[in-house]
Amino acid sequence: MSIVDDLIENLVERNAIELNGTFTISVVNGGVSLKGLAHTSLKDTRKNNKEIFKADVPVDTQVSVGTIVIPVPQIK
Amino acid sequence: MSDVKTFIDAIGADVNTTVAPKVKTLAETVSKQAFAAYGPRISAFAGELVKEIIDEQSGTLHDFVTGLIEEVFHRYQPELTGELHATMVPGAVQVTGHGVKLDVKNRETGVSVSSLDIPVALTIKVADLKVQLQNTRIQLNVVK
Repeated sequence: MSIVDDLIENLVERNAIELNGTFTISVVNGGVSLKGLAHTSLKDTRKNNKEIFKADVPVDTQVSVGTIVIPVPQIK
Repeated sequence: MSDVKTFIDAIGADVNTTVAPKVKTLAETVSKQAFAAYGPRISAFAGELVKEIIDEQSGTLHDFVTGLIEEVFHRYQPELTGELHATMVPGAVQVTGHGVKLDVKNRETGVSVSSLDIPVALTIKVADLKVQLQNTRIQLNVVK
């Protein structure tokens, strides 16, 4: 195993991401919108969950949904 | 000398004042007597007759109605055609019908006997959905 592999393994396995936040999903013209604020923090699990990185991420996305065509049910 | 109209009017007025009250009295008398004497008998007879008719004819009527319904359903075929289009609008989902119609066709020939256009326009309100993340923990593991 290389030094890089060891480094990545240590970085990945010893850290955890914690997410907090509130999002609002609403129907808008032609799609669905997701708005909110995510409070993220990266914690070192091997150092008693010490916070090593913190970021507030505003989220404002919109997913476009086209017209959904539903054929009427057939009478059999 | 009076004209024809005045003459006939005069006779009519006279008949009204003299004959009509007598006819009215006679009619009232006959009516009272008939009601008192024949009413109960006619009523009983009519009741019995209706009962017998219903008893005897109910089977025939049942067969007729059943046959009629069967024939109608065998003869005609309902067919619903068209599309529903759903689109997102602010705070709601709007559903509109495109060419939605009910066709009644002859089963044997397939010819449309009657057609009914069904207008469809619905707006389904969708309230905002709130999602709350509380201490959501993401931990990764290296795949070896």
